Amino acid sequence: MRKLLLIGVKDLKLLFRDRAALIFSLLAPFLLALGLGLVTGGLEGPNAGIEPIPVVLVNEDQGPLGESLSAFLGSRDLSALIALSHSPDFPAAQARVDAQEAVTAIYLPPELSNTLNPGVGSPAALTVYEDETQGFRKGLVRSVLQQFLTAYEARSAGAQLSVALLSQHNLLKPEEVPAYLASLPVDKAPEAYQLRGSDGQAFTPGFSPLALMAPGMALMFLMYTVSRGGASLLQERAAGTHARLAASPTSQAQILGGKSLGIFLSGAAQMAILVVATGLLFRLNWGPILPLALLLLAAAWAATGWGLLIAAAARTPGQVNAAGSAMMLSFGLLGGSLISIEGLPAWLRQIAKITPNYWGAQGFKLLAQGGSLAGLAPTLLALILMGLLLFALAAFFATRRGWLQGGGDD
Amino acid sequence: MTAILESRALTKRYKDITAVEDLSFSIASGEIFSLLGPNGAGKTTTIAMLSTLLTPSSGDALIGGHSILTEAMAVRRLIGIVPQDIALYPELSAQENLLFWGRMYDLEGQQLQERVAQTLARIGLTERAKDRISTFSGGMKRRVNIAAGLLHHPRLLFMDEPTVGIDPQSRRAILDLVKELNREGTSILYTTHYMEEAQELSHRVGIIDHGKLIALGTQAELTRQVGENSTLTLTVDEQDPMPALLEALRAVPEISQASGQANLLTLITPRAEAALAAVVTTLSNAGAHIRSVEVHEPNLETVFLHLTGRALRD
Repeated sequence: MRKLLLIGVKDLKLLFRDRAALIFSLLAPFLLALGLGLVTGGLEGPNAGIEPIPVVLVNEDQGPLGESLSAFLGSRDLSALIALSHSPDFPAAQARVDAQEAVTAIYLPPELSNTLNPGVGSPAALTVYEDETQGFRKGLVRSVLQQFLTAYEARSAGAQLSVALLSQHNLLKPEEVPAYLASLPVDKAPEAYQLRGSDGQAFTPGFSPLALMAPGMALMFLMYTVSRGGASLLQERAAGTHARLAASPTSQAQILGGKSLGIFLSGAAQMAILVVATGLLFRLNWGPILPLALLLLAAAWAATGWGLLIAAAARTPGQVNAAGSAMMLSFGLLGGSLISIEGLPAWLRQIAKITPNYWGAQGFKLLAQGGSLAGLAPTLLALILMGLLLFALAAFFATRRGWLQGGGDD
Repeated sequence: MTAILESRALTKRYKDITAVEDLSFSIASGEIFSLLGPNGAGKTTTIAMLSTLLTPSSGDALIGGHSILTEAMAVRRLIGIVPQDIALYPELSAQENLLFWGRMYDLEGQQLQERVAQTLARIGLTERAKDRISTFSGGMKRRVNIAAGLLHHPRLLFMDEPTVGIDPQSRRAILDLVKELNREGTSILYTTHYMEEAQELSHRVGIIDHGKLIALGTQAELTRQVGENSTLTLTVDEQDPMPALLEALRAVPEISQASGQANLLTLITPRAEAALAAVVTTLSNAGAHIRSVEVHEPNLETVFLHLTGRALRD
């Protein structure tokens, strides 16, 4: 066990002495997270993540749509994202945008709600005036607005359909339509409306998109670190240090175990440094420490399994590096580190489950949203089982190559 | 004197190629034994089998009474290895490397620290202890490479061509170190293709070629095999036609063997003085331009040439 630790710690030390590896393992994901922080405003203000975006609403509609939108934008769920204020007229609201006191001004014209009712001509337009310099924040408000309108239209369409059907069967007289529409939930203040992430999870107040992006980057570059560790298995053979180790009173199992430990420690250290650094700099809430630590270790464990497997299957360090780079990118895409996987076909989302990125992202998201250790258990179990399976496969290949015997032949 | 190593018909085959065949020899405690042979003769394969890195196809060897086949771990505790290539971690310092390798031989604590300090002093690198190996010259790397094999005071040290590719000063330092270690009681198996090193260091020499041990004994015993033959070494112009020159020289009655490499001719003759005039005449007639001539008393080069018909560096 002592030698296993010595070899593992030696490899960890070598990682921190390798400038190129440090750039890829720590600096690259950190800079990407930093860039995202700047883009999203995650570095501003005393709170983590995004400062509430100032939005001015001019509601001349006085109908259910205006009431709903006003209630929606001012709701508690959106308070961390949007700071809503009202203005009596649109020019005044536009002036506030021009003065950069607000990012977006929204104008609801008179009778807007009524134009959505059946048989009342074409619907009136909702006008939006934006500060063009606020690219991401402006887009965020627009997407919130779009989500609201989509939901509202769906409900309105349902109402129109029901009116048409009821009228067709003489169950609703024309003079009864306004009263009927007034009774539908579309008119109610939308307590049900929430801003949700693409996974359907509601964003909790104070939640930052960085809390999704930073772990994604960390998980993606974790795959680089483990593949580098895997390559070092073959590099030691090429450099003669493995032969020197094997000629000492150290068993092949100790050498391989020590190398595996080195990969695991490197991965876990990388993740821990990124979590601490982004946590301090961006004030991200990564969740409670114990489940977070277990998740880091489980993710590093599963990733180590992949690193070992490609090393055991490859012939040269170059092959491991090439396979490692491909794995880093493909797992990053597939596992949701780079893009949301919700838009992917269902079968591809199933395949994503073979990546530590997928399970890691699930776990980090859960913890950032206040999840508990019990809730995290399935994720941890999946990562541990993945690691065990991959270790077994790597051991199979290593045995075939004589790596676990005293006098290997290659 | 008891044998620290006893090799019994050690053989290694790779499919159709036999790298080492039926190798039997022994090394007495306190002896420096050199395996002398050209590149590809099977020296490194032999060391790899003896140090338990390669499993022999057949045969066995006992080191300190332990079989390399069945008691590998016991064998590894007795041996030290200095590989031909630099087997160190370039991004660790000399001291960190030695501490790591010492720990791999179960050294720890005060004993480890003392051994590392002593060994660094012995190889003259105390001042550079904290510098990374990647910043060292080739000779300094070689010295640390040797030091890593000495820390645990092995009873038998395998040194595989430890002076390849280094400057004469570092080479001298390494040869002196080998002799010093031997004086302290370390038995050494030294492989080389430099005849001079084998002659200077060895108590006994085994000459290996194409995986077979073709001669074994002290230097005196080996040179007796070629009788009183001397070696003539001639340097000619690089443009001179070597095959034609060799053919002409082989026809000279005083020359028993002739070989050539680049612009160097190596000739074996029982009567050097008599042969010299005939050789010079023959070469001049063949259009050669002689740049230098040396006459050597019988040595291991002569033995190798006598046994194989080739020079060691062919």
